[in-house]
Amino acid sequence: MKVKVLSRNPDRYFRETKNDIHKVPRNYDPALHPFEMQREYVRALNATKLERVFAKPFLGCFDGHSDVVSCLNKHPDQLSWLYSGAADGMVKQWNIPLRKCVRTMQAHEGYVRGMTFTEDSETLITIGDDKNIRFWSSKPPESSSEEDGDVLPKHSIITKYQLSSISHHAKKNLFATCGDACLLWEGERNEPINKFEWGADTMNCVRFNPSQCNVLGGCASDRSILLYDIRGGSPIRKVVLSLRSNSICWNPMEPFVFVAANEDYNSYMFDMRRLKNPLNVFKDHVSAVIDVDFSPTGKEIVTGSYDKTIRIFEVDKGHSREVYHTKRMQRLTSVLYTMDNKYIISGSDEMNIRIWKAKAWEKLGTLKTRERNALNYNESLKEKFAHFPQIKRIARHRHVPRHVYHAKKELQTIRDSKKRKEDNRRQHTKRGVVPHVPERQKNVVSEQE
Amino acid sequence: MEKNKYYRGSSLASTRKKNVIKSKVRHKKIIQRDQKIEEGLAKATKAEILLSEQAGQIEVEKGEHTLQLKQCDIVKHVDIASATKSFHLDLRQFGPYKISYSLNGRQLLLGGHKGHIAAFDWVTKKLLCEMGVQETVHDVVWLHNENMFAAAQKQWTYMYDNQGIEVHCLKALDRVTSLNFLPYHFLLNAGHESGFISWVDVSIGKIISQYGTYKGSLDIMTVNPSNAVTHCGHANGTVSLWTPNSKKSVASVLCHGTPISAIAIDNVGRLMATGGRDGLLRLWDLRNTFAPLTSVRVGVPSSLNFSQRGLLAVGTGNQTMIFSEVGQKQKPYLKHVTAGFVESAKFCPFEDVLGIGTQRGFDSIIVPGAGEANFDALERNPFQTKKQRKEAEVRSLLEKIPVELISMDNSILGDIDTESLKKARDQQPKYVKKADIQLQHRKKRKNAKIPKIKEGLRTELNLRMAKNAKEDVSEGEEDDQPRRKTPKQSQVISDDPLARFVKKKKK
Repeated sequence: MKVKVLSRNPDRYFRETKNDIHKVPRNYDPALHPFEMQREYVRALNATKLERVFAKPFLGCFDGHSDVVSCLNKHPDQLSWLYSGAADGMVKQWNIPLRKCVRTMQAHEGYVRGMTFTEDSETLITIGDDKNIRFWSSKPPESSSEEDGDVLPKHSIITKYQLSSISHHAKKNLFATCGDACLLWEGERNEPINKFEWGADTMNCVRFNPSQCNVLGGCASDRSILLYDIRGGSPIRKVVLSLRSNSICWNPMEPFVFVAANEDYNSYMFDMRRLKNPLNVFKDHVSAVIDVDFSPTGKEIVTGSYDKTIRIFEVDKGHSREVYHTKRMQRLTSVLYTMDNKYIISGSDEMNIRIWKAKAWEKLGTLKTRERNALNYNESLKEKFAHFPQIKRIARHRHVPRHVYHAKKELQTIRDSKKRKEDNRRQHTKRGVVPHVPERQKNVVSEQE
Repeated sequence: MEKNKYYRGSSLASTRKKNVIKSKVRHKKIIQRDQKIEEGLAKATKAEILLSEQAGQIEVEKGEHTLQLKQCDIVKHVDIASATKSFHLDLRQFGPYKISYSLNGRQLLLGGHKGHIAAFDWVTKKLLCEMGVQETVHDVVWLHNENMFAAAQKQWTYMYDNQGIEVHCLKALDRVTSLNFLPYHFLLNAGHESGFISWVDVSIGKIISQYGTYKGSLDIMTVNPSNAVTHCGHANGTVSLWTPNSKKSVASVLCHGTPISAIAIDNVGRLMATGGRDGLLRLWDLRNTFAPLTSVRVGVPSSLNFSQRGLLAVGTGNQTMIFSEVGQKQKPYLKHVTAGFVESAKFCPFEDVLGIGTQRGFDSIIVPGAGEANFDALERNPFQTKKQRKEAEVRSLLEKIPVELISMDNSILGDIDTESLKKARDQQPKYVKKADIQLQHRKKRKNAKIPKIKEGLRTELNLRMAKNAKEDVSEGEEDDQPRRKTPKQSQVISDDPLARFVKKKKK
């Protein structure tokens, strides 16, 4: 007869010395882990609550401009350099981690309308209401004496055109400006080498595609979004929306996708090849969207609006996942996603530049492995249980300013009543007279080639 | 995919046609997730080679049977450390003794009916505390760790720390006859002499709910460890199932024609064993049918308990039988005779040990193959340090499962809540285009056989419930029973109310 009895040697279960870590034998048998689903649910609920507890997105502000911040630009290579232009013609360069202004330039008289970098990112080109195009070194000064505004441009072009926006070619020494017409300039030559026109309207935004680098997109005040190919010298395509677009931004990962910030409170994502059907409509703002920027991963967009809020949208969803606002932040003029996908920078009407976390609850700084694992586990739990009503409610809840709250309610009432009316009309007319128009196509007037 | 114990159901993408998932991206995502699940399954299976311990067993030669073995024989064949696990405490004065092992199996709590309470580390035999409360002790139970325990005394229920200092007196739990603790919910479940059943959240010290069963004193009560539903055995032969969320019992099963004497539920919530005054031991399938599986005549069981690996201890009179392979072919495995009548027999978790509290003391016997060999240290750790215990306590409090989640069906949380979906859809204004979602369940699998018993039992249950609502339950039920039987069935076994199930099953 043989008898085998469980007899555990304690030495195998206790650590040998005080400096060792504790031994933790695991057994993944489900019988030893009862209430699997329930416990995970509670963990997910706790994780969601913690997310909201730690959601403190505002990091700080760059104080220094004495007029409306009109435009912002990030350096293509340097994570820490930020450039901002103001309505009094001042351009400032900032060091983001130090939150310090490293250079100030009196670039223009009147508004600074736009900024861009040359393909080698050595030179910053600015335009202003004084109809000048100015070239500056993008590097901060070595000596501190230059900080006070007596920095001189490398070069400047005096033009006869109204300039409202500028964008540089990604590979060649070419840049485009717009205003009365869309102009193409080469290097530091005094006259534009090409002029693009489609209709007689003024344009307010122009952007080169960063990867399909000969394609140029812009929006005009005749409510259209235009696409040009600079090789052909002619416009490719144009789409007319119901209201004017304020700004466009190309997706850095998918060259044919761009998003337009529109006056009708929405942003529209388009496929350059089929402008008739927008890929997505981003709704949530309660006033005109002024500026939009893609995250460097191409998965999210950030929008700044006239309703004093910043919203972050995931590209495959129609509503924002996050809304940022502070009591003092006024109308947004420009927003940026930094190149490390971690921060959002916003410039607004009350002369301030603010920096925000892209994920409001993210812990900054390096994480220990265990900490990171725990956070990853919590993330996947949140994803798994995201559709549970309790969890969804907590995760979605955001406090918004009163005017946004009321405007949103009002808009909803308007939308409902429109829908109701349309439905009534549909019910009392012949079939097909009042067709179902998809939400995405409602604001697209026409596409022209 | 191989269906092992880690398997949690088939994947979505494989069971459904491709076109059911409309979006291409979604389909891809689902497939990716399924792959991850499969990987996890493979890894969990692979991780089994890291399990260091093997479960105990007895190998006997031909012609021998394990049933012939006595404790002294087993002790002779095991190592010295294990031999010390078989011992006897002679406590004649204050019996009979109720016992309780702490959740990690290290500490033992004895509660003598005449007022003797003792807690000790039964492996090292180190006494934690011992006291005489000078009133009757009906039941004792460890709480979430070995720092606190509860004792149901004559009038009220008290909570003591491991020094024996009274921490709380729960006056809301008065005249309690049986206690159970739900570690994941932090609920202390008590059955009152008055027939009431109550749940107290020990983390906040509040009564969660208290309902009347109106079926007499609740001294036979046990909790299903897999779904936290309380099973109460009654004098009318029924076992009723209770959750803190419903005023009425969620189900009631007629198990015996005589009063119930003991109930036990196995670790994974698959089987329920009931013992009746008729001297029968019955096994029931708890998963969905409540179908009776077997019925054995063993004498009146005063105590039943399942071990982690599925052995069943049956205490009858002064002997304790241990069955292996419960189910269709029930096999007796070991037998132990104690000095006094068995009051409560409980297997020690993570050890091959059965503790038997009797009228004349306590017996600890070795039962090879009873305990789970490989514990999960993040769940229950017999070798826990003080710091680990503190850490685990905080963690388990953070993960306390809300009472609302206790229900018969554990998977209900993972199911689609069609009801509220339907409600939301109905509330939408008519101009909103309604989503085309099928709210009905998918067709049942073709192979799934639902035993006919279920139907019979269901009608039985319905009738019973309807009757319960109408009239006082305590009398009449037993009288009604034979009348409903057809004469043909009653010919078979006249005293067996479940005979008709057997008949139907054969068809």
